[in-house]
Amino acid sequence: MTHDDFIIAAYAAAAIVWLGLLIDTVLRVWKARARG
Amino acid sequence: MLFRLANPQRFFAVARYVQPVAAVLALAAFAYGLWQALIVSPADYQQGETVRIMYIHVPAAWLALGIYSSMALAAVCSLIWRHMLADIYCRTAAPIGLLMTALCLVTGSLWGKPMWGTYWVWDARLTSVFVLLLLYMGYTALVRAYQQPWQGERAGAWLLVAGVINIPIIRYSVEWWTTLHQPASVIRAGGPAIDSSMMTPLLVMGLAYLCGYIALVLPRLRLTWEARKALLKDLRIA
Repeated sequence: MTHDDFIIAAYAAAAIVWLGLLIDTVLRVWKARARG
Repeated sequence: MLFRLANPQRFFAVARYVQPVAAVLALAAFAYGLWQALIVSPADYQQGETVRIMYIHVPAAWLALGIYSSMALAAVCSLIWRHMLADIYCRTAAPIGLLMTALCLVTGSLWGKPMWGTYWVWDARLTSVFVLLLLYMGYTALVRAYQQPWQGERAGAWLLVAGVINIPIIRYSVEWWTTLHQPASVIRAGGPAIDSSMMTPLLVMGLAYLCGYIALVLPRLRLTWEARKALLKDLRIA
């Protein structure tokens, strides 16, 4: 692996965590609204 | 201030205004911080381009420690005043804290391999952050192990208070022991040891992480609060 590969892997990990949290939060809010 | 916000109605009324502001600030800070981190800031004279991992690794570590400290404070409030909002906060914040600790460890390993030649060593800093991950996992498992959620939260609060000893150990591990991890370079006596061209993206990304956390934890907190109120209502009817 080159140094660039390590940088890409690290930023991909951060993106997965933050986007995962965002999507999970949005889905929870939508489900709660759908239930009323 | 803290006591005024202890009133759940007042807290959620304030949160209704704070959440969108935090979301907008997080988006702006992430956009500006990533541009600074990936394009504007220079490569390090020793680390080369790999220094860019620092801009996502260090804020993850700050947030992981900050979330645990806020949970421990809430746990103390819960144990003294038996405040339900404090318990709900700990339950809601724990998964985010766990993810930030995992992100800190993963990005640190991805930085360690090209810089140290290894993904992992059991030095004091890495081990104490790994213990923080175990504390988050232990708390998350413990609060789910009881039939009634408030019983788990009570046990979890004691775990959080006991585990707070790990926070100064993480902070000072690089000073108390000889570690492969470098010593503190931002929050240290004598001022930061980082050049402003690198400090700016680091602080902006730190702000992005903090605002992102606030923007995400507040709606989750409200949902958990509503679910708990519904559960208590059902129990009263039964």
